[in-house]
Amino acid sequence: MDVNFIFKIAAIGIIVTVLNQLLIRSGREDQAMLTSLAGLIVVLLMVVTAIADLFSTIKRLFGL
Amino acid sequence: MTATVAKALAIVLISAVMVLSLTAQKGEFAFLVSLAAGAVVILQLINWVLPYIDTLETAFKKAGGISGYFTVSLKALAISYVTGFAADTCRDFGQSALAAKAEFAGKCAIFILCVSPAVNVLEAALRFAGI
Repeated sequence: MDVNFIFKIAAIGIIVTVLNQLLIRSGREDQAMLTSLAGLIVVLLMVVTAIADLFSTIKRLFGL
Repeated sequence: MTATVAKALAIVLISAVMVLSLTAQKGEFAFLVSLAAGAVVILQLINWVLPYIDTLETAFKKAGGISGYFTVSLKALAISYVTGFAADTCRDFGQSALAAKAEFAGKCAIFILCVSPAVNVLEAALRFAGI
């Protein structure tokens, strides 16, 4: 839950962008769309669990 | 002391660079990086500030009756920070309408939180005035 987490998400974003361009240039637009969708879902799940962890920590620490 | 602040500022600047590099092609990843960076920084700063809040709370506890209001204000502070976190991140990416909804939710939560102390103060005032 520190800087590595941010770097991981940024790395996935960049890889998905590159893959997307690669697939589009080679004529496979549908696979490009599916790849970026899959990347988005993976990153979304990671971020949602991190935000849930943040909110539960705040709730516990501040006694909400 | 300043090491924690420096670390938080470094994290913010690094993630700003990453958000900008990702915004060109993939806007949604930039939003997620910004959200994750906000969560990491807030979590680190809260863990840093918390022992001082505890000492303040124990000091207020000695004062007896007033400590109830301190915990209410602490909760309102926590709600406002979380709401601000969500609203600012949304506004950063152009969703000002959603940011307004998030802020409205935060205002409702704080309003509900502050009703009971307000009632107590009102009753005490009326009793004092003899009505």
